[in-house]
Amino acid sequence: MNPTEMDASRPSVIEQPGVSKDTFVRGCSKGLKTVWLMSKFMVPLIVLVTVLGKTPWLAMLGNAFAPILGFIGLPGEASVGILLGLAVNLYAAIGAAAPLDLTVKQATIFAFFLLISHSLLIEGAITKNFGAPAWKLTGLRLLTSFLFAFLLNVLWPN
Amino acid sequence: MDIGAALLMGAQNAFYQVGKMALILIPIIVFLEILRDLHIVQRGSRLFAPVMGIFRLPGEAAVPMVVGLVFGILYGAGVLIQAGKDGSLNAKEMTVIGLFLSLNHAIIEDPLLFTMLGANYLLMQALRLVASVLITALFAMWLLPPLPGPAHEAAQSNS
Repeated sequence: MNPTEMDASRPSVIEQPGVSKDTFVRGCSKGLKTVWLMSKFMVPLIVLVTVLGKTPWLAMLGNAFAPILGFIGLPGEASVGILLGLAVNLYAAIGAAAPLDLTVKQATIFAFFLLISHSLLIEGAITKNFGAPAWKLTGLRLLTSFLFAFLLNVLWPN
Repeated sequence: MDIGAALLMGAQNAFYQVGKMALILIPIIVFLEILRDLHIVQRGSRLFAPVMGIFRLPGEAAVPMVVGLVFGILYGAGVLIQAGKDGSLNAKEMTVIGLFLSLNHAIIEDPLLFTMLGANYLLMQALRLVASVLITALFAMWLLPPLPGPAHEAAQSNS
């Protein structure tokens, strides 16, 4: 490997560590960009779920998923958040769950489940670089989510 | 109930939730930038080198593990791919690290977002740590050979 290639590939070793005004400017601009990105997912979903909550549809969808989610202590209505979290990202999941008024136990199980398994399409593509087949890792994540969320539900007194 | 009132209620709720999220998210991202510029995590990760034995991994695995744990899977993957190119970690070792990071990453930003729903940060992250360590250690026992003893290791590094 030639020296220039090394310099380009590991800048963190070459750079002097230290915080400057630039750190804060970069942090704030990244933060604002993330807030903008997240509101694009959250706002439509919060409005949609709030409106659906006034119709029988959300409850009907909830009833369809209640058997699976009841297993891990979540109400069927949380299925919208779980599915969006798995397929899209955590912002979408939080947007869909925000209007639901989950209890502390439900919110913690919901969060735990999605922290282990989320953005499966995008992160599956990233983890391909790790050398393991993406679908095996994805399957393992889902299994871990269900197994430990089930344990948390059983062990946490209501 | 008419649709107009529901829409208004939804919009108000959305405005409130986005504001709440911004108040959580922006300070966290600034904090992570500070950590990154101080190189604290890269340096501190060396303290975790002895713990890597749980996963049958060499001490070199500590940097990608801890960097991915703190900053997220994308950043961790970058460091990990670099370690793979260096030759300090082989393909099977990278698979084990990737397995761990796919279960547990971005331990500051992601779980703190969920606190806005009322979730308990310590509980969810502690359980996630237990789950990821347990599953990864089990898979490491199957995928990787046992680590050589300390004496043998010293002899190897001299050669």
